[in-house]
Amino acid sequence: MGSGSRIKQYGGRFSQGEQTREEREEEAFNIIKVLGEYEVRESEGGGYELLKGGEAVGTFSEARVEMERVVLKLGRGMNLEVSEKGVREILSPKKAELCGLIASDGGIYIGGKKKIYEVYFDSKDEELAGVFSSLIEEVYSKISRDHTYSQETREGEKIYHKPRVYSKGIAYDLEDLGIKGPEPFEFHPPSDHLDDEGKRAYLKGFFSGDGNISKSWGEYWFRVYSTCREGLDELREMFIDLGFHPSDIHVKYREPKREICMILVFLKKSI
Amino acid sequence: MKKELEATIWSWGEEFEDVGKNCEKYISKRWDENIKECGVWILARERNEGIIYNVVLFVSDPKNISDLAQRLFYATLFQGNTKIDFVLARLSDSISASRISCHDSMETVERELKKLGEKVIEKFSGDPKIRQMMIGREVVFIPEIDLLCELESQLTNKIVVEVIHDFFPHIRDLLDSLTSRLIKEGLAKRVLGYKLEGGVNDLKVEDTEVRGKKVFVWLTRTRKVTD
Repeated sequence: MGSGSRIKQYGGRFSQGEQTREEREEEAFNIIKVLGEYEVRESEGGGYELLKGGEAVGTFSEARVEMERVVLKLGRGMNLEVSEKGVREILSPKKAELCGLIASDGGIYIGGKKKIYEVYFDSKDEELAGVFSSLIEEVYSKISRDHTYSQETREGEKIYHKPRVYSKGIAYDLEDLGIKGPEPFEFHPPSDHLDDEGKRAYLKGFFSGDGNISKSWGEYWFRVYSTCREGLDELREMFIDLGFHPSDIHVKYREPKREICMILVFLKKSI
Repeated sequence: MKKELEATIWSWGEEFEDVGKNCEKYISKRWDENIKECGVWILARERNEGIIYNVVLFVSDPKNISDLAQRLFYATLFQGNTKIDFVLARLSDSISASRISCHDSMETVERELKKLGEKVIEKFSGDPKIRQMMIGREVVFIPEIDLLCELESQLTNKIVVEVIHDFFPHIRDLLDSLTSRLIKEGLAKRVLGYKLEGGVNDLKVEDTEVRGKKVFVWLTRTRKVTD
């Protein structure tokens, strides 16, 4: 990551219009930020250009300028963060939240005789299933199929919501981030691609599935559970990065090859 | 020699209706004349309160197992805000169910818990590290509670529910609701009794947290479920 050619690739993918290099050189640009060897400039005609060592490496439709960085919009819920440290590809908050949801109650399935490319989410909560669908739509401009699973019980009909999206591109895009699997319960936050905003969004998504807040012993506590200890360790690091003070990992249930673990986070303020 | 075979027949993300099919496949492959019993273990979490629990049914007739596994799965899945992590099938050449026996009433359990709380204070207040943290602060000991509940069933050898949490009222509420569901769904006939697992000597300090004028001390069981 961070090489000129990689950025050119994004630039190529997201360049606006059909302008040639000569035509662009005739345009007027305002330098909006210089970060190390990178320079971000805004065209008077619209759009942004990223230069490395004076050489244009990409053009972008949107940019967010902050004190210590510039965030350039790529596609599929990705952004390019330019800072003094260089460049890195980061997830937009929407995509980060989607990854958190998939890590807790969803999954990615690529396989089968007929080669199925499926990204799914299972929840009893209709609202949460709706959040998954709307995030898929916002990030990938794709409408998910909202399946429901109903079961007749002696207490009446019970429903589970199972939105799914079938797309090779989306399945591989998420698979490449390494967020889920290969074991069904295994997850890894894409920490290298998350800024603080992304981390908060990821935790929000994960918490919606596998977390809870409760008041015990006179205090409010935020709990996150998982059967994947390694993933939970990585979540713990994220909490620390965001200034929280999570507990150690508590093992609540243990069997050979299976355990259910938990971390607790103390909430200072009343909710 | 005691023989036990085990397989994960379902895990989160698989289709719900596959529990019975997967169980059937496993049973047909592994059951032989030496097998006396199959235990179907459902490992679950009630997410609103973060309660870990498992529901186990023990069956000796291989013909009924997959159907019962599927029914038990649904009964558990639709219990409150439950997430099922795994379903396991364990085959044994002995009757494991006979080793589990729960005869106490809920009132007895509550009395035992009260005594346990007193013993916890007595034992762990003497811990030098905790004593140090206690200076000028209130200590809150949070022992992990592991409660078993045995149910009589006309369809199975027995059903056992194990609930793990640190707040007893949540455990009691979950057990009340889950056992009623198992009875309503025809899987169990009645609750036979309860049993509190472990004593003060099975607890060790897992974590501590100093928050202002309070010290929280989490105590976990040194022996977990299958040890």
